[in-house]
Amino acid sequence: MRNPRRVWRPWGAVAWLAGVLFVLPAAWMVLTALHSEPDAATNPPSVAAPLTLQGYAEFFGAGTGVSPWPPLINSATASVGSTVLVLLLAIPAAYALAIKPVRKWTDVLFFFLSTKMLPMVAGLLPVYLFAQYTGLLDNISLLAVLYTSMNLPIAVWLMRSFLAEVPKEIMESAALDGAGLLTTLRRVVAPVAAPGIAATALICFIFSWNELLFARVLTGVVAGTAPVFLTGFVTSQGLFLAKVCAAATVISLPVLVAGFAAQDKLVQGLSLGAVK
Amino acid sequence: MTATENPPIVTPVPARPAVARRHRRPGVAALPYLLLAPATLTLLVLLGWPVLSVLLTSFRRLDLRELVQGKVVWVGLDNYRAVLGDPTFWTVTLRTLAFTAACVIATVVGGLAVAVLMRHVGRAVRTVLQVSLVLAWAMPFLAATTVFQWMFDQNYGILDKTLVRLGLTSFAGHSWFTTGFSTLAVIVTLITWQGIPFVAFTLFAGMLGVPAEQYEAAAIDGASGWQTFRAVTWPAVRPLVTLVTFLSLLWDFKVFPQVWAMREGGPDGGSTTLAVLQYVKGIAGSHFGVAAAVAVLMILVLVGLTAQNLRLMLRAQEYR
Repeated sequence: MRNPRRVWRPWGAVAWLAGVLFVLPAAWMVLTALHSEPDAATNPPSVAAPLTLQGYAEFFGAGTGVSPWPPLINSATASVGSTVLVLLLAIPAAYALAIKPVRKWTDVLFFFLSTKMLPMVAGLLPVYLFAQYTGLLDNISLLAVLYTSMNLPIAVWLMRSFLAEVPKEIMESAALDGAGLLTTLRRVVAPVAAPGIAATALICFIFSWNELLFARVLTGVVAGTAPVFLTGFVTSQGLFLAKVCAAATVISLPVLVAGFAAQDKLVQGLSLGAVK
Repeated sequence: MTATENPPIVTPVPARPAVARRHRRPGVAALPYLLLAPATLTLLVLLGWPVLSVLLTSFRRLDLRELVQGKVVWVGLDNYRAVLGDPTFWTVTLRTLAFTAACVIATVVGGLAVAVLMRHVGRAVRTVLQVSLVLAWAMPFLAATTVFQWMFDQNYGILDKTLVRLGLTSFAGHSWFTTGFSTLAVIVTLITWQGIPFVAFTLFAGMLGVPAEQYEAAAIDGASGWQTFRAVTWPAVRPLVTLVTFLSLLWDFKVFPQVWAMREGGPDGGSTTLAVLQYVKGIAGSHFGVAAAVAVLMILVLVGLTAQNLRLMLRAQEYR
């Protein structure tokens, strides 16, 4: 792109091959979702079997009468809620670490990252007992708060490197011109850091949307999230592959849309920080 | 006021900023700490407390009986003695280390390769590649695991069929899940497949920061592709490679859902990693004290693995 003379033709073919390798499992999932259960389970796998929307119909409750909307809404609540919380907490912290350095700020960063050392499975029992004690079991806000704590360290780390890219001279001249903190944030910091914020938000959103372990243990009928709903299809009797694939396709959709919309921002955002 | 005495930028004579700083009001000095407080407190409460609880539990006997009766039975180092005296633990630890190394190396090298690839292809192809990567990244763990189970399935799997069609007839009906090693190989493939997108996007973003002139200069000097990579690309992305290696280490060492969902640690415990062992002892076996001891040992191993990496990373940040 930047230097067309250097483009070596085979790279294009390799890129297509890599793309196909990455897309294959997902494409197979989408295709299987459109097959009937018997076709999905044939040997060898039938690629050309007639297409049907039966899998999707079953996902949306045909036959069982179980609506997929409550789990999807739960997932959206937990993911969006925790992403917003993470940004609200991480941006000021990262701002303090990047632009107004605190003494021993590397120690602070070290603390943030060291909290990622705890194996998540180990946290299950204490969190479960706490939830039971406080009556927060099967409550979606507990999940949102938990996801916030899981994403916060990485978010602070990423945001700090994004905000460190804001030129100090501009901040100082803004201060000399008598601009208040809020004005500086809005006029100077926000435009530079926006793609970085978008990238961080996307990363947090994907993680929360797909989290299964805590959701499975801490939620039940009321607050079950989409991945938990998905496990329900696997454990049922008989043929389930088409149904699972249809469910998985629908559940992946929001992340896909968000990812597709943000992929340019993602690259732009990530290229700001962490590097130099 | 002391807060502002230590700016991270190493400037020989910080004349002007020092003057500007003297005019600040006292309240301003406390501001960074006020901004840091909410995030730090949230983490201390939400993660510090479970860590403390796990640490305390590791010194207690806490089976289902004690849990129901609410009894606190301190047993000192008994749990640790039990775990460390069990040869299975050492096998599982070595297996987890090898598994983590395989995942991290495959993810980082693969991600770097895909990033280089993205830089070399045209805009249209790159978009296709990026969309494919986002697809792989977005797939829920459980869906991805199910798809991989079916791809590698003995009777229905598309992989065996493809290998047979390519002439490798010995793979007809080959089962990938009869040994722990090949089961883990499938899991490594799955985790690498899901891990590469993040690494590739991050490294590609880093490569965009390299000035075009440097590549032009390398081309004029007649540098080969490999020489250009070593002289121009690698120095630019090395800090990022350290970062993604560190993050992959953290994720892959502790990874649980995929490993468990694939074969529940089987066959015969052959694909059991430390995270699975911890789950089997704790949640499944209700020996929470022993499980907590395993968790504490895991943290220690992880700290040992990453301490050097982390120190290098922080030092690099300090002298930006």
